[in-house]
Amino acid sequence: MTVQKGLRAVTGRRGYALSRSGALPATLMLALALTGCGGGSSSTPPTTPAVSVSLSQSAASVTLSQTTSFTATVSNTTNTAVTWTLSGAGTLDTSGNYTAPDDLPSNTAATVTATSQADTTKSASATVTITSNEAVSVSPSSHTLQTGAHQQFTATVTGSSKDTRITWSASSGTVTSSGLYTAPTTVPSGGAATVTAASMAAPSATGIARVTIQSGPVIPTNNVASVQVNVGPAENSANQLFASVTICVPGTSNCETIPDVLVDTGSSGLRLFASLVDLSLPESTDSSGNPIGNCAQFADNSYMWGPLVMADVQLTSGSSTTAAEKASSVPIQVVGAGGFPSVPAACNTGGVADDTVEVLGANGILGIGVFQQDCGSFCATNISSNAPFYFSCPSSGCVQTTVAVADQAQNPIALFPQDNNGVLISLPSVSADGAAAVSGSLIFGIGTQSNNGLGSARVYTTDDLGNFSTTFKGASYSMSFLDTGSNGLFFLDSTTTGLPNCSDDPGFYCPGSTMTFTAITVGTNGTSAPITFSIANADSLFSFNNGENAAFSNLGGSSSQVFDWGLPFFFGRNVFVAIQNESTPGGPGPYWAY
Amino acid sequence: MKTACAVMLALLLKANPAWAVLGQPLQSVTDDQQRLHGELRAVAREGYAVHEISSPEGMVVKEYVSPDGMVFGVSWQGPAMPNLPKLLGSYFAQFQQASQSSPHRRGPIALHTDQLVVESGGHMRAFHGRAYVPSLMPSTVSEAVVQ
Repeated sequence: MTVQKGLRAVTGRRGYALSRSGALPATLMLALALTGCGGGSSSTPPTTPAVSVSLSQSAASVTLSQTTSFTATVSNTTNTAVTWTLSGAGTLDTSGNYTAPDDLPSNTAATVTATSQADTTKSASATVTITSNEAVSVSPSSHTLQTGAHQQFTATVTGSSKDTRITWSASSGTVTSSGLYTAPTTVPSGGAATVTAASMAAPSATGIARVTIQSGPVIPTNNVASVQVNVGPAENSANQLFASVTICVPGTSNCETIPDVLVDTGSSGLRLFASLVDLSLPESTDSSGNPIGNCAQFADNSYMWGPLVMADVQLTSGSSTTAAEKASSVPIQVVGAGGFPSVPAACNTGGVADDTVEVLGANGILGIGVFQQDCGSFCATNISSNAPFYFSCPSSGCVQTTVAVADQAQNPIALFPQDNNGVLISLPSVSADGAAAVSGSLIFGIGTQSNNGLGSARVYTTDDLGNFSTTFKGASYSMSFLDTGSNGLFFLDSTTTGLPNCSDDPGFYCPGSTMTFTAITVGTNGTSAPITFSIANADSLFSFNNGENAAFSNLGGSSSQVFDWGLPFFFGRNVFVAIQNESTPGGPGPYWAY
Repeated sequence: MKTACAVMLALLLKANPAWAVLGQPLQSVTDDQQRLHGELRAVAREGYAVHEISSPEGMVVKEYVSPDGMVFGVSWQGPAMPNLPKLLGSYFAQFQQASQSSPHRRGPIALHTDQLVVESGGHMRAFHGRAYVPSLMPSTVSEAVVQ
């Protein structure tokens, strides 16, 4: 006998009738036994032969979605009507037609029963076995892909089921519900992946495609950022180099782009004015949970003061086929943040607060010099009023503190996933009269892509303060440096150079006619090369073209007893800035190469 | 640079360095003793003396003192800017005015007048500068010694 777990009425797929499970078969057995007794006892009056029921098939095998018909024969009664019931998957109609389900059930056995309506204790049953003849094939059946590449696969399903849906899966990489496969970004072990299409009707029916995966170019990174020299956001700038910086709430696509940020190789760290930052960025805190205040000082005795916050920093644009240069969770400084404690005395040594676009001539500073941090290891272990970079700032006021190197303001380039060992600054030449605007590029990385190789550039290493030497008229000036954030060629003084100071703007030189000089830059590795440069009358430069020019190749002025090779040095040159301790094809930073 | 700069005196003091103000007599200034925690080294040279304070983080401040005890020049070098108001004293206002009178300028500050020379340059982690008062220079001493 078939074990019956329940009886289904023929009138409804999910309705239940005659639910006295187990009762009917026992009754049926008794009836069948009686039927076999023939006349029975002679003392018993003659009786009408018992009603019996039989089926045209005692067992049947049905494939998915297919129908088989049962016929019931009822004997010994004029009422030959039967009631059809089904136990198990599928459907059974009132005429005894059984239809298998579209999807293979977990229990592939079903029972069809016909019960006499004349004598409901009489019935006959047949066992139905639900089978699948589904088969799946995948095209193409084998394929070779490069890492990260895509391939559309197609599945063909044969078999009786009306359900032709497919489930896709891949042993490595990803595949969409429509069969679009993407290879993993690295070659998997074995060098291959399997893409599988499985029938939803019969999951054991599968087709596979074997994909051989070869290492290919990873998604290229766009390492070029456009930069400009123009009058800038305050319309008062001369020789200031501007980049656009996109900042995001860490780990999100909640971002904003701030244009006209000063590119400064003389400092490290991104510093933005609070008035321009609309995002709500998480504050950096010290070990006591207090906000960290950051002080950045500059040679003109100005300073920037404000809290460190965390942001993802993106310096180039990405697309569907190229990745952007983006550093995650970078401590950056927000300058002039409202509600933050005022500047400590150790930071403001009688200087000018660089806290507005008008004062700075830019929307912030992008410090991408030779160091990874503004202070470095000293501030991680020492508190000194002679290095007042970091403060613990509870609302009661700020006291100087130590901050771990990784938590200090960071040169974002060093935190890129790639192209992180430095930057190539490429600016066009500027004519002797100046230009209203010029455009150039920051190309991230040194020797990491086809567009940032050192080529014929020579490497000038710096000392651990970021300085090298410059020799001029036989004297050596050891604390010289390159600095895009200085807007002129600032060197020595009027007495030493013979260049008169301007009367209107005494920081600049105003020779009667343009003068040309040669100085020798000398790296700490001994590399040296003469640099020829010209100094024009600054007053004339600033008044030429109705005063609308903003880029000058021959603007110079007095300095301390060094050469501060400012932005004019960079016009018409490719200059590499290698970050300290980063490896490059030209050896480890810090160095400049040109 | 003067030749034959004989070292006549070298003092090495571990604590409580005193430093003085441009244009003022050299004297111990207790207010300033906490400013620079370093070594004080006083070197007498021909016609002047140099008091040099070096701190562990690389801050070096030198004071140039005339025989009559006047500070005629100062210089500095270090990871941060020195306290220029204290170092320059009454001359700081002139420097401050000069630093704010050049709207086009982004970079070092250099003030050169007959009365005062102040130069402030360098970059993050490596600032340096000097200041001197020409009228206070000993007649036998070149301005170039202040560096």
